[in-house]
Amino acid sequence: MAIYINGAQAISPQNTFLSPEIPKDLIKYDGMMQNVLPDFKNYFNPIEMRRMSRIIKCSSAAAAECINEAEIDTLNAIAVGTGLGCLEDTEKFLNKMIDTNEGMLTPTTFIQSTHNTLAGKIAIDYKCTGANFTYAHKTISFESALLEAILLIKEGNKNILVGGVDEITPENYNLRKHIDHWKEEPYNNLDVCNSNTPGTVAGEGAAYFMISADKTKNTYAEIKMVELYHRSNGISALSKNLNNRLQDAGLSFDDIDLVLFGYNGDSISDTYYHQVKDMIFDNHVHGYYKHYCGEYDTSASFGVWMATRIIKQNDVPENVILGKRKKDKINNVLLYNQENNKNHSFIVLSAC
Amino acid sequence: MDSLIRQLKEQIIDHLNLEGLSPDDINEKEPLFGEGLGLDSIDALELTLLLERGYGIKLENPQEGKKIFQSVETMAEYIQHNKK
Repeated sequence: MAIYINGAQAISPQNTFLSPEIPKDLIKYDGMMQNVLPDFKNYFNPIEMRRMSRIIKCSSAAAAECINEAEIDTLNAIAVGTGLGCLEDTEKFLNKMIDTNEGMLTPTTFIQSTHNTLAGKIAIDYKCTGANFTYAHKTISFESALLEAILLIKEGNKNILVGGVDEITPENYNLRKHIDHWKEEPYNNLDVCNSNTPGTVAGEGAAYFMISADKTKNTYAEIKMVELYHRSNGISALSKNLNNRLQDAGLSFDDIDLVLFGYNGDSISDTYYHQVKDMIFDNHVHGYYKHYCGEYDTSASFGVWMATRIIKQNDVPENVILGKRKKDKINNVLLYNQENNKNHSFIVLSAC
Repeated sequence: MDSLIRQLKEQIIDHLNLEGLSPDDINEKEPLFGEGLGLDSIDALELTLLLERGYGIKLENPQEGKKIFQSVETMAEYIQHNKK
């Protein structure tokens, strides 16, 4: 059964929102990468907006444009992946608990601090009474939501909205600095693939996709495979498993025209990308995407957004290519993301 | 009284995140709920906490809220009479 992506919109630290193509000029960040914000007044009235933090506004605006773009009759269900949920409101709520010595707390930040606020808000906006899922599975949160959508389509649903949303806040950035999540030395996002030191680049994003049973004029790509492994059992086992799963999808390694890696500049974590690149996909065209969006739990969703544009435009921008190899026609893109040899995810999108 | 009304308007804007509004945009005689500012039940809780934290006034009887939170003016009058 074929499953399609009929809408794809991403708010990110680059000018990606409502863009039909991947921006070729990257915004350079020295430190944490935060979203380029659209004018939210176009999406929400002031009374509504006052209870919405930045992540909720980004999430709902990206979802709205994705739904518009897909031109669907009915939205059957919503599945959102978010590693850390609404961080800003969580921080406000916890700080107020401390400030008031655990006294009476204001309700708004508590209500908005829960992970499922994102999917719930979209359901309210679109009066979607279908299933409403939130997956908080760290670095495979988005992929888990995507798998949920695939299962729902296989059960007979037509249109499922899937999102990958996370935010970085100054407080969270500083906390994670203490546990060496970010690079110690001065760095910027453009150098993410030229680093040989530990630590990565902090990022965020809100990407939404309309996963549908039917191909339409708005279709970006077909989802051929979503495969997750909590840990890798070595390269040869991984290669064998991937080969089998690709065969199940009617593909082989040779059919993959581009492999998009989740390189994030962390010399320890990137080792695993090097291994997969050199030992399984050595003769393929390679690309990467986290210099656009930074690292966050649902950054794979940005990779999927990038793959939809690459397939639709049949063009891989120069600053996405890793190495010198190129291909004239991009039919099948494989995305590989992982975090320190955990939560390996492989997604294959195909032109259709 | 005028300075209390002004202060209250600033606190309401701040506590309820009424972005884009200034104290001059709020008519102290207009209803806070329904019409006027169009506040809702969550805002009522926020205003209850504003009274408690900002002025040391604890609302023992929730039924009182309806009268107290009618407008900025009624809130100011209540604060003036009950401030600790």
